[in-house]
Amino acid sequence: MSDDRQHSTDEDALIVASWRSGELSSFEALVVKYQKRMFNIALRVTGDYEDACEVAQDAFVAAFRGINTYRGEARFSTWLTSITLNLSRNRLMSAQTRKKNEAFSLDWPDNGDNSRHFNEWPSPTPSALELLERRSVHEKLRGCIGALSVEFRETIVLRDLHDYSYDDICSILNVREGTLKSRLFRAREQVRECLKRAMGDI
Amino acid sequence: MEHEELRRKLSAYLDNVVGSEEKEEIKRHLKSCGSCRGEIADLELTVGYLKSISMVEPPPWLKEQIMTRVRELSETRPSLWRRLFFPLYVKLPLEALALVLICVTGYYLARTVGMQEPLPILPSSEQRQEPAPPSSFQTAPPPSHPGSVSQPGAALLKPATPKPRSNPTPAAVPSILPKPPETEPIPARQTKQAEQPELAPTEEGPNLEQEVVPQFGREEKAVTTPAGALKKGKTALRGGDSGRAAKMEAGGINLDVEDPGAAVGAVEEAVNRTGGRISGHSYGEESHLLIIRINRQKIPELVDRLGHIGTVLDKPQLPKGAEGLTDLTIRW
Repeated sequence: MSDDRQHSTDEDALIVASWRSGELSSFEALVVKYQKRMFNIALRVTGDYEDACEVAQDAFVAAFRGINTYRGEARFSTWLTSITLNLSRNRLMSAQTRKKNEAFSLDWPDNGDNSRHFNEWPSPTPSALELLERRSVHEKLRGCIGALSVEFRETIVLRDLHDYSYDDICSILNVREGTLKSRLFRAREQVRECLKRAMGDI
Repeated sequence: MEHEELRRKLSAYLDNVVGSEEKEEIKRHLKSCGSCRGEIADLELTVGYLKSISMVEPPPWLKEQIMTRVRELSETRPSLWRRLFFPLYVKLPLEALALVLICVTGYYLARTVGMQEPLPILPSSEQRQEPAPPSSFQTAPPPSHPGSVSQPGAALLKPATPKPRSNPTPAAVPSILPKPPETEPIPARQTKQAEQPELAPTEEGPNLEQEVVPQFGREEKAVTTPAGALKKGKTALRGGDSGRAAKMEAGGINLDVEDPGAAVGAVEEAVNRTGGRISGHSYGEESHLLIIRINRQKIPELVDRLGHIGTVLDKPQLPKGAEGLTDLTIRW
């Protein structure tokens, strides 16, 4: 695993160097290599397919624009992931604000469309749990991840869904290892509790 | 470690990111604590579920969309800001140098142009014709016809033309200045024409101005040439034999100050504060001369201000109610 990572790092460094020298096809190679991972990270953090598409695009464009600020101290994938996470976080915040405003709007359409929101953002109310129970474990898991706070969601997504190392996560989230361990413990505990409630037992 | 503390480390224990001592301690605790064993089993299962979530395929158009945006970016020229200011290490020193040069040039231009700028306020015809003071501002009787005016003007200007220019001795300039009492009183009418030959052709009697202008052309040019204030001063100083200088001597202020060099700033400030405009100066080693243009009504105020700087030895005698601009020399 670590050999693969080292190999990938060296390969990325070469591709980035080639891209910096003006080779656009090198950047395209990086897009091909990382688009799926960045898209999935964005998808799990934002919880919305369209938002994830836009975030993934924006992340690559931002990386293209800001390549001069990339000093090569961290791996390219780490740098790109931190860009993706930042954009995902911003997107999530604005979506939450929008939904909050819509919830208080007098024009809120009470036509059963709310169910769509519950699918993405399960609440701890019984009705949300009932909805969760009717789904498969993975759907329930996704719902539980979506119910986490952004901080916990990020750590779960990076560590358990994408197998990032503790060092990489600390670098991406700019937190200390102790903080990360604590967050991860609490995030996993919340997911476990959520699953227990949704499934009756794990 | 206590139970709760060890329980909190179970997640890290699962990821194998605890120290060897902690690891052994947790292992020992797990053997004896049933709830922690259950908890770590649940955690392991939860993490297993989480890791089993498969990745979603991104839409097929995602890569193309990204590359389209990136190509657009790479084809667009860098912004004007980037072209002007980046890379900083090359352009910043150059731009700083250019800025300094512009500032210095602007400063010198402002000084030169400010001194040359003609004053917009002109004395009215009544003011010009009113009787001059008996001594220094004495006015000659108005000429009966244009021809008669040109003669004295020409006579006055003759010595002021190229001859003084050919002998510029700046250090000696102030010392050769004729003292005001020794100067010949020059008819104010003539000096006025010498000062403003082309300022108000419509207000003044047309024939007077037209007659005088051609003859004063050279003199006026010499005074207002952009060669610098010192040159102007020299011209005026040498004018013991010029109409302009003679007029100035008649209308001069003599100051006695302890340190002439140190008083320069104060005198200039006094002139500026009384609305006067410095049209020439000559600062020598021992004495200084300032040629100014000022409203006659402001002269008493100026004299008062100068009195704070030093002792006013001579001051111009003004007729009551005199108005309009006049040239004046301040000597100290």
